[in-house]
Amino acid sequence: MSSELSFSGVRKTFGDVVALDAFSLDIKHGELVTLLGPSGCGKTTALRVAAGFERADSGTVTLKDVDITAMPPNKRNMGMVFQNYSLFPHLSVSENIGFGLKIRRRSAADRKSMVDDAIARVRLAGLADRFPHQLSGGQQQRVALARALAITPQVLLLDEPLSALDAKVRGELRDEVRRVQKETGVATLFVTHDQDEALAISDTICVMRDGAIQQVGAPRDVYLSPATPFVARFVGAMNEFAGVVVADGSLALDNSAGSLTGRNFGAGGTMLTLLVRPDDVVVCAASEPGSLRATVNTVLFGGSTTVVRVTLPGGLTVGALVMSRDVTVRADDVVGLRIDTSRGVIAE
Amino acid sequence: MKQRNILAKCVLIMVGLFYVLPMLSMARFAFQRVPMALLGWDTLFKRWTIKPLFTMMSDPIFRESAFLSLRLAFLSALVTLIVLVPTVVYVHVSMMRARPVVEIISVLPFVVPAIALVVGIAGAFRDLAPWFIRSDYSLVPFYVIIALPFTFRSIDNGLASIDVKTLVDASRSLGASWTRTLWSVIVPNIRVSVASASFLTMTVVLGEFTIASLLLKETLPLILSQSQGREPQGSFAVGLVLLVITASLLGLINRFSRRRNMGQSVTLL
Repeated sequence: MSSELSFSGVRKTFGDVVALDAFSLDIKHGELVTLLGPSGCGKTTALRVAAGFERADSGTVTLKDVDITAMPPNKRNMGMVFQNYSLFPHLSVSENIGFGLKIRRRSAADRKSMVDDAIARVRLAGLADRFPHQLSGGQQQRVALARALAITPQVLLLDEPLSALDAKVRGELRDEVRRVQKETGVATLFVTHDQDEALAISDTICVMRDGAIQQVGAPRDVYLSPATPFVARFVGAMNEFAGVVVADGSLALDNSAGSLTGRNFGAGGTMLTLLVRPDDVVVCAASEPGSLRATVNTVLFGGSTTVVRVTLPGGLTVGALVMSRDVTVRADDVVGLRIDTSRGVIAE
Repeated sequence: MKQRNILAKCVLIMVGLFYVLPMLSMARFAFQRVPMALLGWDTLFKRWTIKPLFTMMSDPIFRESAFLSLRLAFLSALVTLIVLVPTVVYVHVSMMRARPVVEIISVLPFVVPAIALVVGIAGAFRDLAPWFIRSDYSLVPFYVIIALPFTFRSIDNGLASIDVKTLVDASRSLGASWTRTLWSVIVPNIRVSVASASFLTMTVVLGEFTIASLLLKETLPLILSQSQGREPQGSFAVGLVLLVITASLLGLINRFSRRRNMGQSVTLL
C-alpha cells in the first residue's frame, strides 16, 4: 500500500538544538501512527513540519507522492486537532465546523449537510448552536475533531489532543478518536507522551528520543520486543538488574542479591544491566529452588492487577505484576522471585 | 471594614468632584448668559442656552476644521489598525521574545517631544517629498505615532487574552490565508481592543495641538484655541461637547468589554 504521508531524512534545528535528525517515517492510508517519546524528543516538531508550521532544514515531506516540504499550511489539506482548545471563541459549534468548508467555498446547503454529518459523527447532536465557552473540555475537543474531519483531509494530525482532559473523559475520547478514525479511514499522525494512550490507540508506534527514531512497530512489538534499552525503559514499567556475567554465563547481581539464570549472558566478566518487565517477574514461595529471596515492601492494589514491590538483599527494589485475585502476600513477608530472563533486554 | 468603605466612598466622591466640577464650570460658562458677578442661587438656572454652540458650528472656518479633524481621526485610526494589528499579531505568533523591545518602542512617543518629531520628519520630507508636508494628511503618520503608547497596549492586551498562536495555526490548517485568518479569526476576538484603539486614536487626534500648530494645519483644536478670544463661549461649548462624546465612547467600550468578559466566563457544562 502506498504511503499517504512520508518523511524522508528530515532534519530540523532551532539554533543549536537538533529537534529532528534523519527522521524518516511512512504513514499509510487508514493507518494511525503515534509519535511517542518524552518531552523535547521532537515529536511535536515532526507534526508541525507535517502541518507546514515549521519548515524542514533538509529532507522532504511528501503527501501522496507530492513534495509538500515548502508548501504553506493552508494549502496542504490536513486536519489538525491541538492540545490547547483551539475552537474560535466567536463562532458557534456549527460555524466552527463549517469554517474550513466556507474557505473551500462549499455551497450553504453542502455546508449544512456536512456540518450536520460531522456533528452526528462525534455525537454532539443538540449542541450545534452553542459557543465554545458553553462546552466542557471533552466536548470542545470533539468539536475540534469534527472541524478537522469536516474538510475531508488527506491526513489527520493530532497534537496531544487528550492531555488537557481528566482521566475519565480522556479514556472516552481516546476510544472516540479511534472509532471516528477507523470510520473515516483517514491516515492519522498522533502525538503523545502517554504510553498507555499510544499502546491502546495505535496501529504503529514510533518511539522517539532526541530527534531520532528509536523504534517503529506495532504496539505489541514495541512493548514485548523493544529494540533499544531506551524503548524498553520508556514504554511500560521495567525492573533493572545490574550485575556481572560469571563463567557459566549467568548474571551475578550487584550487592550479592543473587544470580539470574535461564539464558547465556555472554562472556564472563562483562558488566551489564538486564531489563525485565514486572509482568515477567513471578512472586513465589521463598523455598522454591532457583528463586531470588526478597522481602515484600508494598502491595499496590490497582483494580484487576496489583503491583507487589519487593526488596532484594542489598536494597534493589523489584516490581512484580500479579492478578489481584492471586495476591496472597503482605508487607514484610519473605518471598521468592522467579524471573523470566529470556524476555529481558540487555542494556550495556 | 465599614471605615474602609466610608474612606473608599470619600475618595471616589473627591475624584468625581475633581473631574465633574471643572466640566460643570465649563458648561456654565459656555451655556449660561449670566455674568459671573451676578451668579447666585436665584440665577443658577436662568438664561441657559445652546446658542453659542450653534453660533460656533455655523462658522465656516470652524466647520472646515472640524471636518478636517474628523477625517484625520478616521484615517489615523484606520492606518493604526492596518499597521498595528498584523504587526502585533506577528509578534505574538512568531517573535514573542521581541515583544519587550516592541513595547519599549511603543512608548518612545512619550519620550521624544512633539517638536523634535516634527522638526526631524518635516526636515527630512521637505526636500524629499514637499507635497507630503503641504498636505493636511501629512498629520496622519504623526498621529499614528503619538497614539502608539495607547493603541499598542490596547491591541497587545487583547491578543494576550486569547491563545492567538493556536487560533492562527487552527485557522491556517483549515485552509485560511493570513489575511483571512486576521480578518475572520483574530479581529473578531479582539474587537473590543480594536474599537478601544480606534477611539483612543480619535481622541488623541481631536485633542492634538502642537504638531498641527508646528505644521501650520488648521485642525479643530487650533481653531478652537484661536476663537477663544473671538467667540469664547462657543469654543468652550464645542470643547465640552467633544469631551462628553469621547468620555461616553470610552465608557461604552468599558461597559461592552466588561459585559463580553462576563459572557465568556459563563460555563454551562
